[in-house]
Amino acid sequence: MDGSTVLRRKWFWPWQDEAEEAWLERLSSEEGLHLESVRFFNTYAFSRSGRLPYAYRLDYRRTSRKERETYRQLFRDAGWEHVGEMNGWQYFRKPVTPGESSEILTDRESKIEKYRRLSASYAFFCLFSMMFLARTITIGRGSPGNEPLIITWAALVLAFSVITFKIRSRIRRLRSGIRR
Amino acid sequence: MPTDKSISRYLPLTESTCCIMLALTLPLHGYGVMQRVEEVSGGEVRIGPGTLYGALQALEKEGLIVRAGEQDRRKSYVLTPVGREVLAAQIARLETIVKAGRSALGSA
Repeated sequence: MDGSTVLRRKWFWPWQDEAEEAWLERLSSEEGLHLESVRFFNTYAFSRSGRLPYAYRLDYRRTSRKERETYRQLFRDAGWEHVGEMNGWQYFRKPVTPGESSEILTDRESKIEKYRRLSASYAFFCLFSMMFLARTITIGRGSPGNEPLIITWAALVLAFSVITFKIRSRIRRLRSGIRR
Repeated sequence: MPTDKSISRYLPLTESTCCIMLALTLPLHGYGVMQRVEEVSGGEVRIGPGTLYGALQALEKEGLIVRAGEQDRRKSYVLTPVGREVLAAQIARLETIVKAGRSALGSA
């Protein structure tokens, strides 16, 4: 049925952007589900239609309000429609046309830059949660009952460290040219 | 007048950056750059909008290009005198390599 909104929830780690693109493209070509917007809690809103499939690309960029329109206009001029933004991830789509390039990042340097921006964000989140962990431990010394808080911050430190590490190893792979 | 050293610290330029700069010898907005690069390279070099956006920001920050205007959310840029020198130095560098390559391959 045309026009109806279909919601799907799916979790992707920040280093799985290519898997996310592939998933969106599969839904577009196989199920006729075309991304309309991204919402909180990893919820994707699709419209169902029999139209031709889209290619999807994710860029990572936190732009200022002023820069946002310039950034999106550049993509629009190149045929890419901005369909959503989530935690700095910019979702773009373009109808698939055989024989035409559908890359938003066309060289290795700019791909590396994208993951460097991403890893900088997570390194910052990691530092931020480390500060809170340290603060919770020092302030709550001797007072019982703050273990859950300590565990939460410690878990966040761990998660952000792993994410940062995974993104950095992605950058190393790109640099070494094993994977483009 | 910038010294040789201040020019050479920008070198070598990546292929994309080099092509963007040579498109910007005339003022152009982003999409104009993409079209011009594709045109002058005979379709050999294509620059995606993500790559272009990052390159324009970096080049502007380095003072190699400057904003030449803005219309309908589209900013246009043009090379600065320093940008022109950097581009000239890069082209000279490439010429040396091309020459060496031609003679090495026996097609000079």
